[in-house]
Amino acid sequence: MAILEEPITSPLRLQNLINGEWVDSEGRMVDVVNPANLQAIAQVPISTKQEFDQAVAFAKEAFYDWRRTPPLARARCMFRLKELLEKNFEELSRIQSMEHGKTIDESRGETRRGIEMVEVAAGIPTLMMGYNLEDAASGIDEYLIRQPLGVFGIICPFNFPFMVPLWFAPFAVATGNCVVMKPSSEDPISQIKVAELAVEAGIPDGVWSIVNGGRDIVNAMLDHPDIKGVCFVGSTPVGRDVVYRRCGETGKRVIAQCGAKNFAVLMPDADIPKTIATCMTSFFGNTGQRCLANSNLVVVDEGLSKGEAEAFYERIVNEFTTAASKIKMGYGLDERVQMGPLRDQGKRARIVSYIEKGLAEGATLKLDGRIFELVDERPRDCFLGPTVFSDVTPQMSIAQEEVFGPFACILRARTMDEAIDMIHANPFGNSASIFTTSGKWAREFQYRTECGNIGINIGIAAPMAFFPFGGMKDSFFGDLHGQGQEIVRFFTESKVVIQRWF
Amino acid sequence: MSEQYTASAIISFCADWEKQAEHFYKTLAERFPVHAAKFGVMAGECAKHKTLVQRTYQETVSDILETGYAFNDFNPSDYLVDLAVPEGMQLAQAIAQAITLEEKAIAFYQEVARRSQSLLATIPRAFTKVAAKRTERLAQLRSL
Repeated sequence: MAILEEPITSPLRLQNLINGEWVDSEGRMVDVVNPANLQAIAQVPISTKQEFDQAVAFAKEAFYDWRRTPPLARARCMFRLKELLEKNFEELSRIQSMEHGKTIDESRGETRRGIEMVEVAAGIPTLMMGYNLEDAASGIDEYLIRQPLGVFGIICPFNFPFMVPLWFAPFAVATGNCVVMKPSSEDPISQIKVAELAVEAGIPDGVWSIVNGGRDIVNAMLDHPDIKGVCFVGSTPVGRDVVYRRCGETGKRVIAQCGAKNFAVLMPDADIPKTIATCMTSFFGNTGQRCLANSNLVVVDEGLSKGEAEAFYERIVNEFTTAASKIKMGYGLDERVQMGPLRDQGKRARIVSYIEKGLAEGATLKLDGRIFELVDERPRDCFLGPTVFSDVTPQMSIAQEEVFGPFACILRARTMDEAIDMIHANPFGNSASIFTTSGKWAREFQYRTECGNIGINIGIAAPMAFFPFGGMKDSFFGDLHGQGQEIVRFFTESKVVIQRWF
Repeated sequence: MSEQYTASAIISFCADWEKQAEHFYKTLAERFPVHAAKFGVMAGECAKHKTLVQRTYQETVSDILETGYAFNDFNPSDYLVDLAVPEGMQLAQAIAQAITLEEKAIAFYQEVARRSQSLLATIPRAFTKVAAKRTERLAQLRSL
């Protein structure tokens, strides 16, 4: 099987999109490196605050006309954008594999999920509707309308460079706002391509802008008085202590979707082969760099005798470890490959430090990710195999902290109550899954577990575009979530009109 | 040799295989005018199968990710059939070759449908649909 053709054949020089024009930045350029072969595939500018301010000024100007454009006309832009994204589906997917490292299946999945956001945003004439009540009081009618606010900032993460920005941008634009987006400087290329297509789709100048860069752009966005709100996806320390706090200080709306440590609870009546298969992609898909990835597997032996419980736990550990050991690694554009590299060497080093922590804390290393094979010869710097620890206790740091890599901890619980207690003792609350054939257990789990997204026999509890992307505790800061009806409310101000005619 | 195949690899295999099968039936249609209409229809169906499988994959690939490693210990090349149509090939030989193709294809699609049961139902359903269609064709070929 050959490696799929690469859409980028020589390094690109990326620009900013300001007022509908692609312009060079005055900032320094940094390399965007393909982690599978360490080759530079692009240079991205680290733009200046002045360039950001300029983009916001144009966006503010564009807002005047754009908010007066009927929702149906804005929806048509979304339809055209959707069509262009479909037309470029394969190229966009392959770019993601090159810039991030993920496998082609994962990239295509990401592309599909991103397009679904645009599809849902195309329904904005219906989604944006308010409501009314005739005779709210005698002879008085009352109605609610939703109005766009102005210019929004979007700060994008590296792990889903194509999809995550589309959780926000299509909805912001469809509701009549303008966006200034800062893609991740680690893998900005697919988002640059999306912006090119947005321009081609007829989205007016200044409505959809891109300013590449780093921390300076984030700071400029958080402080800018004309930025009405910020959407952020990234780590908890930055999301909570920087983005959420600063937006509060400057009176901006904020969605900060942050870190996670997700639990999968395996009950003794679960369909084991299907559960193990699902766990492989849940724990190791996207090389574990997914905020909905499960990373703690809790084996519950409720109702089993002591001997049965031991055997059940051993079976799960062995089957999980065997399946993980079979995952093929290499370049994401190679169709044999089931897991690609980590985004960069620093991320790899961080995960290796957690392997060392796990050993120091007394967990049993069943599968050591530091020892691995690739399907072909290539630089190994960013690769790390799946790691599996058993005999993990909830107090260990490997069970508590977000590792963000192909790293699994297997824990034990006597009862489902004990498993839920473990989940609640963890500071994060992004998602949790249960694997069972019992409706009673599943309902109880769904009812009690304090996490924003619940999977029942689902390993990656990722809500579709028309549902909000939940998140609780240290995994989310804000009031309204991304996607679905909530994001429409986030991007609009509710205005109530009370009307009487004399 | 059994291997681990990704969903992408399986779909690429299907697409390539249906393309070759389409070419095979088109060649038979040209070579054997007595059954040109029948072979022409079969060629058209191969193109439809390719579209169906590719579209199903593209529209559900995010769900394939849920259990993306469904095709472990499986080698699609075990199902490959020689589709060359040499000069001088007799009609009976051609039909026998087509029957072998359809038998292998049915077995292949049934197997990938079985292996993808844990995926979104749309995916095994698409494979099962192609297997059923090919079962009908097999009966037609045997009656020639």
